[in-house]
Amino acid sequence: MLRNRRATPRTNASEEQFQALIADHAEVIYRVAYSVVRDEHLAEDIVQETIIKAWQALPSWRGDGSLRGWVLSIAHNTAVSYLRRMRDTSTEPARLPERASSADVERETDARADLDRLRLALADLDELSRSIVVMRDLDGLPYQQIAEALDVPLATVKTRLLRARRELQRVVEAGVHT
Amino acid sequence: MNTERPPFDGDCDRDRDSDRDFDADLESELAATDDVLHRSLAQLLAPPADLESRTQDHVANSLMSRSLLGTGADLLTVGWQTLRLMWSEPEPEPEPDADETEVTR
Repeated sequence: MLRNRRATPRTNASEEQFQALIADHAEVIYRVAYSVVRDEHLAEDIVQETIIKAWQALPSWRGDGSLRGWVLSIAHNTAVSYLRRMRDTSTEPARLPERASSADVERETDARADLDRLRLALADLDELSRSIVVMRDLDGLPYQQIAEALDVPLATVKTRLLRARRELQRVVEAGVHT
Repeated sequence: MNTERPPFDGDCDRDRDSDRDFDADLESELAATDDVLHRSLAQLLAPPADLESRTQDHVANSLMSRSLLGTGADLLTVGWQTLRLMWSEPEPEPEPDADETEVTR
C-alpha cells in the first residue's frame, strides 16, 4: 500500500508556509531544546527534528490552541527523549551534558563568569522549570499555553516559575555584587 | 515578598481571604520582571546566527531524502506485487453448472 507522506514543499504556498514555520519558531525551539539538553549541537539537531515532525503533522493540527504552544510541546518532548536516550546509552560521563567546574568559572573573565554562574544555576533547576523559564521569560508565552505545551497544571507553571526565578535572580545578583 | 502561606486555623472565611491574598501576592510577584535576568538568559541561550538558514537547508534535504526513500519503497512494493501476479498460477476456471450445460444443449 502506498503511504501518505508530506515531503518537501513544492508549491509557492507551501514553500511560504514551510519557511514561516522555521522563521517563526526555530529560535524559540532552540532555546527550549538547549534549556533541556544543555548542548548546542544537540539543541540544533532537536530544532531540525522538531521542524520535520511539525511540518509532517501540520495538516492534522486541530488549531484549537496556539501554533507556538503546539510546536513547543513537540520540541520539549523531542528534547526530553534525546536526553533520556543519552542517559540510557551513554556509559561515559563525559558524553553527558557537562557542567563547568568551579575552577573553570574562576578562570573566566567577569562577564563570562557571570554567565557561567547563571548556566550552573540553570543546570541545577529541573528540566520542567528550565523550560518554563525560557517559554515565559524569554519568549513571553502565556501561562495557559505553557501549561498546555508541557502538559502540567497552570498552578505548577506559576509556582515553578516563581521558584526558578528566585533562584536565578539570587545568582545574577550575587554576580553583580561581586 | 513573603509568599509563605499561614497555617489553617479553622476560620474558613479568613482562610478564603488568605487564599485571595496569597493568589494576589503570587500574581504580583509573577508580574514583576527582572531586566538583568532577562538579558543574561537571552545571552546565555542565544541561538547561532545562521540557525534559520542551516535549519532550512537541513530540513529540506532531510524531507527530500525521506520522500525519495519512500517513493523507492513504494515502487519496489508495486513491482513485487506485479511480479507475484504474473508468476502466480492462474486460478482454475469454475466448472459450468449442470443446468447451464442443459440449456446450451
